[in-house]
Formats: sequence, structure tokens, C-alpha cells
Amino acid sequence: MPMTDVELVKKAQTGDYPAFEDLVRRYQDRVYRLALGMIQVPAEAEEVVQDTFLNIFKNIKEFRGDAAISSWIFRVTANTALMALRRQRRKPHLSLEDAGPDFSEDGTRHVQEPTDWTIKPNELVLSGELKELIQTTMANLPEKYRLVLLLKDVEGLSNEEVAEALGLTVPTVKARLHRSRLIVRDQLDHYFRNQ
Amino acid sequence: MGLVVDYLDRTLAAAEFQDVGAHMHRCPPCVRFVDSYCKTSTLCQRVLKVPPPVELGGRLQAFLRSQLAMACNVGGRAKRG
Repeated sequence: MPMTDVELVKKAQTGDYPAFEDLVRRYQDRVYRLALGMIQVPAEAEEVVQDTFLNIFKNIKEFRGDAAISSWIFRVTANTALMALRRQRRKPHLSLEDAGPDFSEDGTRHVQEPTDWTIKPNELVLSGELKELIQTTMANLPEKYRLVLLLKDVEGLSNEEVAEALGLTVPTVKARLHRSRLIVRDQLDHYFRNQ
Repeated sequence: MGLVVDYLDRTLAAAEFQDVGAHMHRCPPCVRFVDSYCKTSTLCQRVLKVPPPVELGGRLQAFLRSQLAMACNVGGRAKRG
């Protein structure tokens, strides 16, 4: 029977390197996806993965277990990716907030009469054009929104888990999630209207 | 603002959930909006939940082991010195 995260962490904290490697194997795919979603460049995302786990390894003895290890790993990943982005800053932000829908102070807005997206997502995903649109829209989302969307909609964390990982309140997670989904939805809606 | 998130997460209070559900039954634009909102999440997941390169694990373990070995060497030299 595989060890739990808590068991692996406890062993790793005593210097059991194979236990640490097991922990790495358990999370490396999700860490890579989050890093790639933030950084966009595979080679650089891999560097973020390396730095993340090195950081985790160096500090694992200080992990007290107040939160889930997954939250800590995602938080380190997010911080490492954000630092990498700050260093690079080669991509100026096309602010979708400026170009996209207008929000009021509380995040509400008027929605245009919705288009009927009659084509099923399963069919749509095969379209290279649509895939590129989603990737570009994600890449241009403000980082704080992108992180929440990646953790919630791509990795499937609960709102509470996202909040714990990013050090946010649940209402803030919901607000950012809603806003980021609306931004992406608006881009997709525009695409479908013109099909 | 968070109503649609809570509705879809089924974290609304029962009465509020029923109210929203009842509204949805008689409001086709809301139905279309919620449908497109859900599909947005689904599409994001399908496009972005990519498998990492198969060599990722091997390269990562090699990197971490090399860092560990380097740290041990430095530590060993420091102790001997």
C-alpha cells in the first residue's frame, strides 16, 4: 500500500532521500503543468520545477504540517514561477482587463446576450485554432487570475485548497476564479460568434 | 458575482440553490450563459492539462541528486577543513 503524503514527508524529514523522491514523483506532473501554465515555455517551466523541488528539499525539515503538503508544494511552485516571470519580463502584458469586459467594483458586469455554443467541447478541443486561442488568452491573463484558474480548473483543486495554496481567502479565490473564467469565456464567445 | 461559482459548486444554501435553479428553467439566456461558462472550464482543462515530457522525471531526479551530491561535497570539505 502506498505511503501517504504525511508519511513520506516525515520520512523525508529524517533524511530518507528515497521518500523525498517518491514525493517528487507524486507531484512532479502537477508542478510542471502549473509552471508551464504560468511560464509558457517548456524548458523554463522545467527549471521552475527543478527550483521548486530543490527549495522543498532544502526546507522540508521546517514543514510543520499545519497545511497539506500539496498546498505548500503549489505555493512554492507559484512563488518560484512568479519570480521567474519577474526576472524575465520579456513579455509585456496585453491587459485583457483593459481590452475585455468591464467589471464594476464588486466584480459584476453586464453580460452580452450569450451565444449558443452548440459545438461540444470534445469536438472543439481538436481545433488547433481554438487551442491556440485558449493558450494565448491564458498567457495574457493577469498572473493572479491565471494561478487560480490553473489550480482550480486545470488541476481540480477545491476553492479551499486553492485558498490555502495561495494564501488567499475563499471569497477572494471565488472572485478571481469567476473573473478569470469570464475573461476566457468572453474570448471564446467572440470566437464562436465569428464561426 | 460569486453566485454562479457557488451554484455550479453546489455550495449555495438550499433555498438559494432552488431559486437559481427555478430561474434557470425560465431564462434561456442564463442557461446559455451557464452552459458557456461551464464549457469554458472544461475547455481550459482539456487544452491545458497536458502530460509533461516523458523525460521530466529522469531529468528532475538527476538534477536533484547532483545538487544533493554537491551539497554533501561542500559539507564534507567544510568539515574536513
